[in-house]
Amino acid sequence: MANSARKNARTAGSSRKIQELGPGGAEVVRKATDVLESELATGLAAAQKAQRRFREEKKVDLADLQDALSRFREDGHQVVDLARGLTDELRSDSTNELAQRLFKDAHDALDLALGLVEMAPDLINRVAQMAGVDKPQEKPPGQASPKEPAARARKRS
Amino acid sequence: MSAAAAAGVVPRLLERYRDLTLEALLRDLPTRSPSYLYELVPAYPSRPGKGLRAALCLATCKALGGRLDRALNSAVAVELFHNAFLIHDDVQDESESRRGGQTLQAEHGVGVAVNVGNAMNLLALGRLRANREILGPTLAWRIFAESEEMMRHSLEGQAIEIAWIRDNACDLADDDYYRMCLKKTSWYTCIYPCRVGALVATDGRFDLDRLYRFGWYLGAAFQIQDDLLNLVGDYGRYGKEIAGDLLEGKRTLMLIHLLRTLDGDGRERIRLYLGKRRRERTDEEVRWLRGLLDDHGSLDFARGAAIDLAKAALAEGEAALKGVPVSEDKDFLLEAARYVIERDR
Repeated sequence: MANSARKNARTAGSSRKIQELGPGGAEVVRKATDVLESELATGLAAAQKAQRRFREEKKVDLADLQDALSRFREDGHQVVDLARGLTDELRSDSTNELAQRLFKDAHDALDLALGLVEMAPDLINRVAQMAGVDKPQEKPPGQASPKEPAARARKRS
Repeated sequence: MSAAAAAGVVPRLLERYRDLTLEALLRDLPTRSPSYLYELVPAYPSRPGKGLRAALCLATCKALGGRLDRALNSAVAVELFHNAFLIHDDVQDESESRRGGQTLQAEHGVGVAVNVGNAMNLLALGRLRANREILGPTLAWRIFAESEEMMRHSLEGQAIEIAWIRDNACDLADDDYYRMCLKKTSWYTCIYPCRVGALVATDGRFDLDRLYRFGWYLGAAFQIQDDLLNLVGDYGRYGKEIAGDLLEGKRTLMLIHLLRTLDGDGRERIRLYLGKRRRERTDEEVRWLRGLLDDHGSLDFARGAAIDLAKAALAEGEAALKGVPVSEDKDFLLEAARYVIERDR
């Protein structure tokens, strides 16, 4: 029984080699490629939504940006706190007040910088308005996708 | 590189990178543990396994000029995610054996197994967080985003498969199988490890999109070969119940082919069998179904698909790595296409 199973195991893989591309091979790869591309298109759709909205509406949504900024703000303040923690052991009475003021200034500077970034959507929207940008450029008709599966490309040649 | 040398590179690097990853994984486990939690984390990773996912991550990193120590956290994370999937998968499938031993749920019960799987996911998150100190916040955040996407695909793939069994789906097409396989297996087994390895090595300068197709075809060939081994493998090497997929009613490429090939009566008999609960299915029925797969050429059909996909993976790998200097790690990535369909475990 064990020998028979071992023989079967061998035939599961090695009876046909990778060099043999059986009939219908292109069909299998085509099906698999179509599935991948449809999944990637679904994922890309979400990522492209914001970009498309700007192209179509010439407008950046502050809410989109603030999502990212709130994460960055938290990280930035953590970095400042980490730096303060690292200097704790080095402080003496004479330098303590100076260090405290320095780190408070660092927090304030971070908030100020992020406040400026928050103004960016408004600035971009104004520039877009002033420029009066026309409709987005469309892809010329008949232009092929820049990438296609190597296996498929090879099959055609 | 000679054919003999090429054949040896895969087992050699699998072993090397598996040892490296396992050592790192075990080194940093929590030392204090409530009963039946972290102490059981090493159970699956310590059993004989291939370590393919970690090896793909590390080999991609090294082939593209990166340092292994910078990719190690990500390699450990993918192994932890993988083992968590296995534990939860075994619970959902009511499987009894895994890597030559009892499944965690068979040995300790469902409650413990689910908790240990969750602990592994937690430890994997810790590894991704630790990336920030080594790789910096921007790169660590990109890897985290890759991980989130990988988890979403894996979860959705698992949901597709569970729904098929729950709804007794018998009219599936090959495309349905490929979608499930892409999401459930390929993404976390090949696409994610390769993309993360490339990210670490090049800080995002490598065209990661080239690795989608390579990873997808490689993972699909790997999964179909796994399904074949489940039917014709040697338990001592394969480590899972032989024909366990038939007992569990898994919708494999060969079962979908068989259902498509049979006439009305034959299809109806299989539909009735698949509609039963696992414990209601008999060994005799499994043998009958196994015979049908042979008689109707379903195993040969699946074998052919695995070979075609492996060949496509090799072509994509060569295209993606064109211009990358020759190295043992590059050979490993290309030879992996051959390995996944010729392996017996």
